[in-house]
Amino acid sequence: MLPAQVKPLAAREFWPLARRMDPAKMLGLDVTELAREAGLALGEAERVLQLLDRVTAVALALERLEQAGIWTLTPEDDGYPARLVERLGDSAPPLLHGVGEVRLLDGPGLGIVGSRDVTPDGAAVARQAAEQAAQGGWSVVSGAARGVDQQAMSSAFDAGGAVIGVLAEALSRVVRRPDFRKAVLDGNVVFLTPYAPEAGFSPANAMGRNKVIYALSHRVLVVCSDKDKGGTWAGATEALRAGWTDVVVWHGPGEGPGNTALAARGATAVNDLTGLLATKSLALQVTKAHADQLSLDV
Amino acid sequence: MSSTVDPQLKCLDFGLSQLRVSVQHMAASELREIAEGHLRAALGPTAEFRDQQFTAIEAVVSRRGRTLVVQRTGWGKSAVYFIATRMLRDRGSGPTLIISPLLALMRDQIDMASRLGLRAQTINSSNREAWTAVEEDLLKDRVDVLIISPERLHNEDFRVRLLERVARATALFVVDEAHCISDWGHDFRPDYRRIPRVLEFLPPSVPVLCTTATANDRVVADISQQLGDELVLLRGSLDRESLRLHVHRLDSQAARLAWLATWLPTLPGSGVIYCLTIDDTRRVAGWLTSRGISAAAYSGDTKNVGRLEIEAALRENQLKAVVATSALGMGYDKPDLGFVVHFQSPNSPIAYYQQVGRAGRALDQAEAILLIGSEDQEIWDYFTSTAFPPQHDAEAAVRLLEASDHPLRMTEIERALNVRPTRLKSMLKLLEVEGAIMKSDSAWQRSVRPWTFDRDRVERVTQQRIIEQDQMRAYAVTDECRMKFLRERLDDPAAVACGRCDNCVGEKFTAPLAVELVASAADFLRRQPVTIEPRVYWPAGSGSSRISADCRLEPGRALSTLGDGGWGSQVWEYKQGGMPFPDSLIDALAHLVHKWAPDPTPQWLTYVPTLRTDRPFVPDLAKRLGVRLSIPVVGCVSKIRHTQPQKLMENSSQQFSNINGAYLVQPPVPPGPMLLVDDVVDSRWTMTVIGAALREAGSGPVFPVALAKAKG
Repeated sequence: MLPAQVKPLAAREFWPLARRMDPAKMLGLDVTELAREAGLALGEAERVLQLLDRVTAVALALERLEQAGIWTLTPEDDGYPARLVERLGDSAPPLLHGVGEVRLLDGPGLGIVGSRDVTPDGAAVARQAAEQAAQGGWSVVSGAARGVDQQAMSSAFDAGGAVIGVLAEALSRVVRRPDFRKAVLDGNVVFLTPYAPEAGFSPANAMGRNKVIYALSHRVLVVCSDKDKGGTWAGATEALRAGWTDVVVWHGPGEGPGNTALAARGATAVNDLTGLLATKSLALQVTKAHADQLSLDV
Repeated sequence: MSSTVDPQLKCLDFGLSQLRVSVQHMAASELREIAEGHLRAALGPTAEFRDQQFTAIEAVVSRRGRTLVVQRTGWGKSAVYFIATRMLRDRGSGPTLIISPLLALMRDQIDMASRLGLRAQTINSSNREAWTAVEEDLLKDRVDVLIISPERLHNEDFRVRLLERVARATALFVVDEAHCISDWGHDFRPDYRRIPRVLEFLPPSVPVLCTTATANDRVVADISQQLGDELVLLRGSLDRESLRLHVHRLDSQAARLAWLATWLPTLPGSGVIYCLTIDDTRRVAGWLTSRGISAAAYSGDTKNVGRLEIEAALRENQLKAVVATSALGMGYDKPDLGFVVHFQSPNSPIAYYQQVGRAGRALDQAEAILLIGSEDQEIWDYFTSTAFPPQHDAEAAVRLLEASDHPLRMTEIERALNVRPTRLKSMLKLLEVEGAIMKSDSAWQRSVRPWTFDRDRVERVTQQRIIEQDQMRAYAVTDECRMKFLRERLDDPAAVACGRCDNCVGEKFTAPLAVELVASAADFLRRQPVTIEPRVYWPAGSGSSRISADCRLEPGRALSTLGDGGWGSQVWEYKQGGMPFPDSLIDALAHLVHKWAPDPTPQWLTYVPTLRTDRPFVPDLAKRLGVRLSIPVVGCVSKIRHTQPQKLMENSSQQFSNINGAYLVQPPVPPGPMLLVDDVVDSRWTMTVIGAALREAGSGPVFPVALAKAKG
């Protein structure tokens, strides 16, 4: 978020450190004290102290973002989706920036993902799935990219449903778009990003945000994926390997070259969207709290 | 402010839960010794800490908490934060950031900083040429104290480019004139409103020092609520032992001008005369100068360079008086200010206290005289009514931006809404501070923050203003000690009778004013030229934007300002009453034209026509003026459709649309220079449009002339 003369801690650096020592107690220590109490090498301790020294700059940045309507959540905050911590563990983003109704993050979500180059058939699948989700009271979770993502999003809006958009880039640009702005003000959408609000696009960021889509969703529908390449493939295979959530893959007109391979790797193939939101026949990993919300008995 | 997220928790690129302070352990006596050493280095070997100065330093350096200091001007807050900075820097801490409206460091502050080895810099609108150098120094941690204005703090570019790139944590955050944070304060400023939000994101380990001289209990409570309940209050006596307070009621401006000419030369040293409006500062300064008393006018209208020069001249006692609006106030400190005279009454006793509190810091005796005039209430009403935008205007602006798919420039917003330009500007500022809209290059757009008009707040604050006005009126007529009255308004627990004011020991400055002097002043006021400035630009969106020089009006004259208590009120009465204007007014207008002597000399005149045949007063006025000036009237302008009264239109675009195409010039038109006559000139669009048409039809230069110019 800030131009880093010093590199901020990545998730996998942060979590183990936070377990060893309450970050709050780090203030006011010098390098040797910190190194000793937190079990860090001197160089690492130095880096942490330099990060701590940026409190003012960060306070100013956070206030500026809040002024523009961009909130910031850490795992300590009430609104931070528990699902992310439960499912992603040490890969859970230490920081989320976003706009819009935070409460939407608590509700049931259907992820709809697929490639940017989508055929009309694929688009129709995405739209229908989104419409069903909206009618069933589920939010649509997507990456807000061109293609499947945006088809799903606009279909959800049209059906009066809610959307959770997980961005890899440019939150600050997205909020300046009049159509998205209106949706945010109407309370139907949450845009969030694990990256800086002004971040530019990078493939790594795109991959990184895919795991957030999977972890936030109760179920993800892969409409069309490439095979062995592309963001959709990478995200789906990672999700299947990690077991974050139910992965459903479309089998029918509009599917991509990788869909069958994904089924072979454990995704549930469907050629009909009717049972998409059904709960009994698909394995769901939910906590009791979420189960209550979905009126499941688990 | 989002309520779902506790802002205290966010402090870095990873989350922090409860933050605790790590206190540098040092014995209190050791701390005091060090602090005293610095005090003596700064102020001389015999310097001692004043009441609670050391407590404040300790609060910053040792306890590292949040402190609110309510102490009178001159108590020595600079010493507190400079010494604290020195001590923090010596420990390897980061720089001190001071938020203050101050334009430039006072010389004694510069001296103090340099004696303590501190590099102190300012960044504000008055020193743009120095910004690059200061910014570079700041990024290299070569600045110990940075003083910036609240506007600067919130400037997005400044934040992103500079403040958010500073690697070092602020060791001390100072909010000067902290009463500006509070709605309940007499001088609430929108830019101060975001400061508590910034502080909310700062961990409690960053000490915050707020200072003000004028905060009563309610303001203190409000500030505490906004900055956190752990705020420690250090309050001192607000007595000003050298001040002698007086009140005189003199209804007319002429009488007050005469009073100034009589008594100012007898007042000690140099001082300040406060007025409520910019026009008044110019008039009063002009009058004093004409009486051989050196004075200068000072207001928000004065360019920054001029402001610094005037402040310096006052400090060096090169001027007898600076005639100022409340723009001269914040942070300005002259220890030997001999007097503060109020030409008109401020609308709150706390504002009054703040303004008179500047006098006599380092003197045994200083005079504070309040002159109350009949126009005060009207001016107060104007300020109250313009303090907030009307709800429907604010909502219309937000709706407009919400519906637009691209950012809108101010001129585009002006065209769509019926709001005056100056009010539009302050309304957009308020909406920006409330987070409803944001700036995008030089255009505005709706943000993604939900927003509703805070009617409760507006009502609350307006009510508060009315209460304050009542209190000010009570001050003016009270029989009890005036200083006690003011201190009680500030909840000063030690308020007692002063034994120095006019109620305690008897009146001063009461000798009857010389009749000729009052007449002279009245004459001076009447002679103040009321100019009619030519418009230079067509309104936005109507063809090429500059009015070409050969179509433009010449600078013109009006006899008076509408409703000014003199001719201007007469004009109003006659116009409202639907009667022909009396000879006296027309004589005066003719006399004005003679004295003004426009060049080239007008050879003929015409007038702004009306479709109302039952009101032939302007043609009649023109005819009679023509007789007195011995030039012919040529009725070559006619009105071809009805218009609304211009005064109902709120901005240029609307006014122009109202009259565009309503007037027609019929040739033949005489070729020479001429006068264009009307009874009252308001927006000047009517004159502008007719003038351009006359020029196009072949007339010479057009000089607009009117009986009265509408205010505002």
